[in-house]
Amino acid sequence: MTRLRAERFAALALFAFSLGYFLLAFQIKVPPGPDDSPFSARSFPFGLGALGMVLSFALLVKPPAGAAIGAVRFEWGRAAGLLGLMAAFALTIDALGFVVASALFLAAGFRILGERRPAILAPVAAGTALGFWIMFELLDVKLDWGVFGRLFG
Amino acid sequence: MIEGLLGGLSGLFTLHNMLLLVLGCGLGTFIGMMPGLGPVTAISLLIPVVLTLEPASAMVLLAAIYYGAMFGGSTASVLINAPGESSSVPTTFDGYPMAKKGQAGKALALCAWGSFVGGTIATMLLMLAAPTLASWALTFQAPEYFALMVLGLTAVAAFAEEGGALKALLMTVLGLMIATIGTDIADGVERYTFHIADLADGISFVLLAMAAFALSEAILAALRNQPVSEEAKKAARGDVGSLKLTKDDVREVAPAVARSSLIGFVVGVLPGAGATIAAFMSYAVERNLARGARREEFGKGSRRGVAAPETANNAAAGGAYVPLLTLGIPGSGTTAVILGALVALGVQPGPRLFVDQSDMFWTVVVSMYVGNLILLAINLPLIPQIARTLAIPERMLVPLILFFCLIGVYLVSFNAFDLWVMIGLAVVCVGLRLLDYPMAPLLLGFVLGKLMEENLRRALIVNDGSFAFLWERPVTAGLLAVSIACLAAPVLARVFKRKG
Repeated sequence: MTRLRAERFAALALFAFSLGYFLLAFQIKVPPGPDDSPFSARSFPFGLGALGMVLSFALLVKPPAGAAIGAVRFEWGRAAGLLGLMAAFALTIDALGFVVASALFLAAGFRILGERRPAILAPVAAGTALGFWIMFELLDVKLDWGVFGRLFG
Repeated sequence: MIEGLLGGLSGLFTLHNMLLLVLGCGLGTFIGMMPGLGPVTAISLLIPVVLTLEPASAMVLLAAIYYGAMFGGSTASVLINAPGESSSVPTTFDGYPMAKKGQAGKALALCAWGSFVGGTIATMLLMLAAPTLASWALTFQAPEYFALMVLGLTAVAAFAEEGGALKALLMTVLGLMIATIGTDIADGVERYTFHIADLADGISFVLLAMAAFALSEAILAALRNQPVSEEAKKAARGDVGSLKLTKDDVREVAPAVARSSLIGFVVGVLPGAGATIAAFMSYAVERNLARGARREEFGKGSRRGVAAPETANNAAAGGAYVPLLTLGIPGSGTTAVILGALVALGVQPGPRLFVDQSDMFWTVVVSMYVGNLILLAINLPLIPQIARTLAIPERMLVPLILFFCLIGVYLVSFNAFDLWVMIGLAVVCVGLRLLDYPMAPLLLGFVLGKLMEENLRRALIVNDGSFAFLWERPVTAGLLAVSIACLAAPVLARVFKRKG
């Protein structure tokens, strides 16, 4: 995607967001009161939505020039892998508990970014997760062990 | 003032606060030194820790991380030509050439001493300026506060990079929009929650700060995949040369340090300007003032060229505390994060702070003096050791940063829903950052959003729905006139550039 196209796409997305925000402001329930109240819960969102549309439209019509995005080679796969890993962490933290979910997250993160040596990858991941657990125990913050806590607790 | 300073001394000199001060200086230096990670990332990462502290202790820690990170930013600039944050960019112009000439130690010592002097002078000026400004601001009412916030938000446009004013404004509006999510305090109605109970309290500030800065920064680092440079490997061996400054060095840089301290402080006070502009401005001033051979040295290893920006960016960090503490208006992304953390702790910075919690202000001021000394005492002898951390590979660092962000947000609410929101916001922020949309205005808008709406609401109700207060009250009108000038500045600058 060329820079100009990417700029236009972003401006269009922000315009759509502002438009949606503006339209959704109609759905904000205003509590009963005098009709001529100068300010309600809707007033600010209306103003912001309108302003957002004006500014994003201006960017859409005249996007600023910038360096081509393709000038730098990006590793999209690595970033997507990390995002997927974060989503997996969010999904599993309650079930697996803090220590196991954290250790798995770190080990997989190191692996995705190119650390191949198990002798470094595993101890650093497990050590960091356990270290944080001990620190939080000392601070009297109780972290759940998830399914393992129920199995062995 | 003497009474305040004595109160600040007794507030600071407890084992707990002194440990936090040393910890903040150390952590700030470490994170600030990592290429791409600046003070705003450092503070964002540590907010969950800060929120467990007493407000005064939290402010001591936040301030220490801030100037610690400013201090640390110079190390990567000098040693590996990769500034830790944007305000250290001008330091690379002469710092890296000095390092290539085998004078890395001297360049780092110049940075350390410049940062120390800049930080100390700025603290003195903060001590003098803040109470005066606060006593004047005590007369402010809702219309003035509204105008002040408009000024704080529009000023970012005036100082945005070329062509970036519109983007900065749009990000500000986006931040204001995000701030409206949740229950409206005045009317008690939900806005943009889509009947999701987890959104009733709105988007957490910690979550947004992490997504906009630390998390998106780490994902961008993974996207760019830059291996550890040869310079970093060399720096990691701790071979930086002598750290000693000669009398000639001191004579050469002393006037530049004095000038840059003042420039840094004044620019730091201006909303929207901040340390980066201060550093570039002081570098330009010194280059323009230099004559003959001294001028030729700029870009090739000038001692003034190293000391000036480092002095200015640390002085600007002190200056940025003036509008933050006296008016409750953050002038930069970093101070916006600090403001958000303080609000989360139940402290509302502003003129009342000097009346209701003056001991807190003085504790922070004293901590800044002591913190600058600690930075110098600890970091200067440890520079070779600190430099070793520059070789930590990204494949280890990035997952750790992501992990800190995840547990930081999770431990505030113990709610996995917040993690989903943060990941979603981080994806959007990465996309926007790739297109040079600035993140600081987003956070400024978010932090000021609720207050701005509240003050506009109060001003309109008091004035029977009339907007006449905008031009009938002199201070309000004056502040709004400056805001309009800020908005017009980028347009006028472009017109003059085209004509000239």
